[in-house]
Amino acid sequence: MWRYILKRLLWLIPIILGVTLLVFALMSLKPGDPGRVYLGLNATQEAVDAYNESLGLNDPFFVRYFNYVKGLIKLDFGKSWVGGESVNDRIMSALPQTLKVCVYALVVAFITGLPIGILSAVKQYSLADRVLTIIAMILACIPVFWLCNMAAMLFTLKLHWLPATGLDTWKAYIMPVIGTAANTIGLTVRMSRSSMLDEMRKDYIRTARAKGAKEGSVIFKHALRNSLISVTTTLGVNFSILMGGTVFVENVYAIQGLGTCIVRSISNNDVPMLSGCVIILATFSVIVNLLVDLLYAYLDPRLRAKYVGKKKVAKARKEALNDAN
Amino acid sequence: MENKLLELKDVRVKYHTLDYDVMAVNGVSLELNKGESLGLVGETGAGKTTLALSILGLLPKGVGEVYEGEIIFKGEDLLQVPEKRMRDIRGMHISMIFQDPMTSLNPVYTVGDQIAEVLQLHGNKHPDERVDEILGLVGIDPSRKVCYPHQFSGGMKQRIVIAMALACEPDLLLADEPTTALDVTIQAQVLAMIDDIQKKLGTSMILITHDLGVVAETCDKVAIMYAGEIVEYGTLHQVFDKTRPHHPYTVGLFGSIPDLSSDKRRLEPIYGMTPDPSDLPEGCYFSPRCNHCTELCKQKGAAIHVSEDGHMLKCHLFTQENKEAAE
Amino acid sequence: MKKFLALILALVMALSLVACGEKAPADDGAADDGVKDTIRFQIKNEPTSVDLQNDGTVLGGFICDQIYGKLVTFNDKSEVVGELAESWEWNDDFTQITFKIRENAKFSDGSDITADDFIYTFSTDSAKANTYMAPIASMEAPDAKTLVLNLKSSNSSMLKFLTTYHTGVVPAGSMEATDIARGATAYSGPYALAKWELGQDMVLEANPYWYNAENVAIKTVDYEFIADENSALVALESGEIDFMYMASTIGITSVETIATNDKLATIAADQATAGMLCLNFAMPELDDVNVRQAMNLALDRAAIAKVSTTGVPGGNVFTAEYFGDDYIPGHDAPAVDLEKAKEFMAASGYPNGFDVELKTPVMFSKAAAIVQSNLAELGINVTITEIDASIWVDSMIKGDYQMGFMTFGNLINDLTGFINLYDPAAALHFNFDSDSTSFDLMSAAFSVSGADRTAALTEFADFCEADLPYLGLFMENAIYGYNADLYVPTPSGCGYDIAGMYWK
Repeated sequence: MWRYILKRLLWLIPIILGVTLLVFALMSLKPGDPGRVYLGLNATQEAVDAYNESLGLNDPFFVRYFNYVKGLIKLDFGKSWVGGESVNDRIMSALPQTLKVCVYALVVAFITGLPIGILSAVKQYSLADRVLTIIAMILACIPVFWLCNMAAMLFTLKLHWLPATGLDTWKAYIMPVIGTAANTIGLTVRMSRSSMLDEMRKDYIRTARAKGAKEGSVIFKHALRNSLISVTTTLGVNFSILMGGTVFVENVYAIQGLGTCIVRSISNNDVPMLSGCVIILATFSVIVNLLVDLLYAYLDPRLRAKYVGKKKVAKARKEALNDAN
Repeated sequence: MENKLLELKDVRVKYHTLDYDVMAVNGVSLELNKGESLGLVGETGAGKTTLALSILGLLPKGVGEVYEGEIIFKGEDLLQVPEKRMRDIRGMHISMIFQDPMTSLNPVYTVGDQIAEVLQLHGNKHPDERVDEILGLVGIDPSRKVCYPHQFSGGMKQRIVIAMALACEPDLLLADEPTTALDVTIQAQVLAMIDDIQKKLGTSMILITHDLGVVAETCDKVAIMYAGEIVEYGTLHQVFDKTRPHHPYTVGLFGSIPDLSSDKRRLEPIYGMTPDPSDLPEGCYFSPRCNHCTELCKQKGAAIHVSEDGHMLKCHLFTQENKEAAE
Repeated sequence: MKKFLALILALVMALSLVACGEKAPADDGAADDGVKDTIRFQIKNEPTSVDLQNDGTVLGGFICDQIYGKLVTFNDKSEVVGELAESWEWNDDFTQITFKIRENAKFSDGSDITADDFIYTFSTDSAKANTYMAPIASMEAPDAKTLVLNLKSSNSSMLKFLTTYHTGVVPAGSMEATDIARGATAYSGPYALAKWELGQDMVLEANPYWYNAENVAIKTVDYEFIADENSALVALESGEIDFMYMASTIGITSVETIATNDKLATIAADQATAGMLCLNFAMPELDDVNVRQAMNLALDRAAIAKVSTTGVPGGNVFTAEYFGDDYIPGHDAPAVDLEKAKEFMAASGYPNGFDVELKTPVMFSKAAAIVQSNLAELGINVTITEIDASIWVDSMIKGDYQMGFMTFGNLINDLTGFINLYDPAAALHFNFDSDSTSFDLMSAAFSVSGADRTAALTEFADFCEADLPYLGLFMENAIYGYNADLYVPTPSGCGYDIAGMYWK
C-alpha cells in the first residue's frame, strides 16, 4: 500500500508543473502592470519601469518560469509582485483559516446530511421524506452569497447572537461554516438518500432480515456501510470544490483566507501569489483524492486487491495452493 | 400431532400497488411434519417465493399483505405474533436461503463475520467454534472465514449461505430455488450436501423450484402451484406416478421435460402463459390453457378432491360425479 | 465500523490541532478607569506593505499616515501647518526651505528626531525615485534640529509635497536593519505599529514620544479588514467596529442606513479627487476645440454626480475648499446649454456628429449612460465599453482609447502628477498638444508662489476653460460612517485624524 501512496504522491510533480505553467501563460495574456498597480498613478514611469525590472518582468517567459520552478524546488514560492511580501508567509497565514472553515464545513455536512438522508430513505414517501427532500434541494441550490448576507442580517443585526466578521471566537465560526456547508449538505442528503435506497433493495438486506437481524442493524450495519462508499466519493470530490469556492463566504465574513488571496492576486496581476495559491489548491486536491481512494478501499474490500502489491498476491496464492495440497 | 411442524390454512397474500392489487397467493393450505421435505413446484410468477416470504414475515412492508389465513408453526400463528418473536424465529427456528448467491451476501463483511452474526443474534456469545464447525459441514476450509464473499465462487457462496441458514440448527429451512443460478455439476453437489445435512440435523425443508428433477432427488412431498393456488399435492410417488390421474397442469409440466428414454422428437409445452396476478381469469385460473376446459371451469373455481391416501387435486375433472362420468 | 469511526475522529482531532492558536476575543477597549481608549477601525483589505516610500496603494497609505510623522501637514482648512517642523522659511526665489524641527520631536523608542534622520530617509534609492522628493537637489543639517532643503528649481509647491506620508521620516540607518515593508525599527508618527499578524490582526499603539502625545486620547487602534461594504455596515451597526472607512467612501445606501440609526453618524471629507472625461487627442474629432466646447455644454453634471458619488458636480479642478490659496474663482462648471452646444457643433468640422467609444470602469457605468444620452443630443454616437479598472491604465499607456472615465486623486498634494498627463513625453498622457499654449506654461504655473503664482494659475485656469484639455464632471466626497459616541474631527487633506479622535 505504501508504494501505491508514493506513486500517487509522485503525480503531484507533473500536476504542479502543469498548473503553474498554465497560470503563468494565462496571466501573461492579461494586460496590466504590477509596477503601476503597486506604485500608483502618481509614480514616474522610470520608477515603474525600475520596479518591473526588479521583478524580472523583462525576462523572456521561459526564463521567468524556470526561475520560478527553481524556487519551488526549495519550497520558496517567491515574492508578491505587489509590495514584495513573501508568498510563503501570506499563504501560511491564509491557508489555516480557509482550511479550518472547509474541514468543519465538510464535517458538518457529513454529520447533518447523512442521518437526514438515511431517515429520508428509510421512511421513503412519508411526509418526513418529502419535506426533507425539498429542504435538501433548496440547500443544494441556494446561492451562498445571499445566504451569508441574510444570515449576517438576522443573527448579527437583529438578534445579536453572532459576530459579524472574523474567526475570533467559536461563535464566529458558525455562520461561515454553515454558509460553506449549505450546498454540500443538500448534496449529501440527496446522495445518501439515493444510495441507501439502492442498497436497501439489494438481496443481502433480505438475507440479513432472514437471519433475524433487527431493523436498526439492517440499516446501520448492513446497508449504511455499503452506501457510504458513494457518499464518501462525493464528499471527497466536493472538498476540492469547497476549498476553491470559499471566496464568497470569506468576502462576507471578512476572513483573510485563500479565496480572498486568489481574487486579489488576479485583479492585481500578482502572478507569484496566484501561482502559490493555485499550487496549494492543486496539492490539496491530489491529497484529498488520494485519501478518498484509500478510504474507498477500506470501505469496500473488493477494491483492496488493487492496493496490495502484485508480489503479495502471488505469495498468497502460493500459500493457498500449498494448504490445499 | 406433535409431529406437525407447519400448517398453512387458506393463506391469501396480495401486493398493493398504486392502481391495482396483485393477487399473489390465493388460498394455500399445506402441512409439513418434522423431518419432511416438501417440494413446491411451479412456473415463475406462481407465487412460490411470496408464500415462503409470508411464512417468515419478510414481505415488503406496506406493499405485501397476508389478508387471510393462518400460518401455524409449532402451535403459534405466525401472522399474530409480535415482531420481536418473529425476529427470534428467523434464523433460529425457520431459515431461508435465496436464489442468487452472488448477491445474497454482504460484500463488505467477511463470511466468518456474517455467519457469526446469525449465531450472535440468537444468543451465542462465542461463535467462533461453531462457525468453524458449520463451515466444515458445508465443505469449506474454516481458515477461509476471514475471506470476503467476492473471493469465493458461486457454488461456494451458496454453501456459505446454506451454512449461515443452518448454523442455529433451525427446525425448518425454506430454500428458494437454491441451485437455479448454479451450473449443473455444482448443482448436484449442493443438492447432495443439503440432503445430507438435512438428514443429519433432522431439519424440515420446503424446497421451491421449477425443476422437477431436483424435486425427484430430494423431496418427500410435492405441491404443484399455479397462479397462487396449490393445484396438486401429494407424496413424491403419488405425484410422479404416471398411472395416476393428475391435474392437467401437472401433466403439462411433465410433458415439458425432455425424456431420454422416449422416442419423441418434440416437447409438448403448455399452450399459453401464466395469468397476470393483477388480472386473474374468471373461474378456474388454469382454464384458458387447459385441454379439458369445460363451461363449468370457466365459471367456477375448481373444487378440491382428496383421495384416500392423501393425494389432493384441485380440478373439476376429479369431483365424484365427473370421475364417475369418466369411468 | 468502529475502526472507521475512530479514524474519522482522529482525523478531525488532528485537524483541530492544526487549528489551534485562535485569536483571543477583542476586548471592548475599556481601560482600567472605565474610559474607552481603543478604536476598532475598518479598512477594506489588509495592506501588503507599510513601506512609506514605495507603497502607492491606498491601503498601505492609511496605516502609513498614522505611523510616520512628516515635516508639515494640512489642517482642515487646507492650510499647510507644521507637524514635526515647528516653523520654516523660504528663501527669496523659492529654491531653498529651512525647517526648524521641534525640540520634543522623538521616535517611538525615545530617540530624538534630527535633521540627519530626514536626510537619511530622503536619500534612499526609493526616495530618489519618488515624485514627491524629486524636486530636492541637496540637503544640509547645520544642527541637529535644523534641516535645509535645496530645490532643483523654483518650486513653491514643495511644501504641499511634504504633507504626504511618502515624505515621512524613519531613524537613520533603519532601512538596512529591517524590512521596512513589514515595519520600521521606530516610528515618528502619533502611533506606532505594535502588532501585525499576517491575515489576522494589525494593531497600532499610541506613540508616547509623539510631540503632542498628551492630547492623543485614542491609545489603541485595532484594524479590521472587511472588504464587503454590507458586512462592514453590519459590523458597524452591531458595534463590532467603531469606524467604517471602506476604500475612500461608503456607498449611498450605507449612508441612508446610517442616517436612520441614531447610534451612528457620518462625516464627509472633501476629497481632492476629480472625476473627469479624458479625451485622446490623437482622434481628430476630439482634437477639434469646438467639439470639446459643445460636449462641455451638453453634459448634465448634476445627474452624473448624483449617480457616481456622494460629492458635488464640478468642472474646473480648482474648487475652493480643497485648494485653499490656490483657488481661482470664476471657473465653475457651466450649466447645461444645448442651444449653444449645438452652435459649437455646427461651427466644428463635424456638424453631423461622429462615433466615439467610451471606456468606463464598471462603477461608473451609470454615469457613462448619462454621458451617452447627453452627447446623443449633439449627434455624437457614444458606444460604452465596460472594462476592468486595472486594464484602463494599460489602455491609457498604450493610447488604446478614445474617451475614458477617470478619477484622479491627491490633487491637493500633487498637481504636477495631474499635469504630467499632458506631457507628451510622459508614459501616461492624453496626446494633448494644443497650439494655444504649451506644456511649459502648465508646469511653470506650479513652481512659483505669491502674486506670480496666482497670475500663472489664473492663466492656467483660463486656458483650461478655453481649451478644455479634459472635461471635469464632479469632485468626490468621502463619507465615513462611525459610532456616534466617538468625536471625529473634520478630516483634512491628509484624510482622517485618529490622533484627534476621542470617545465622548
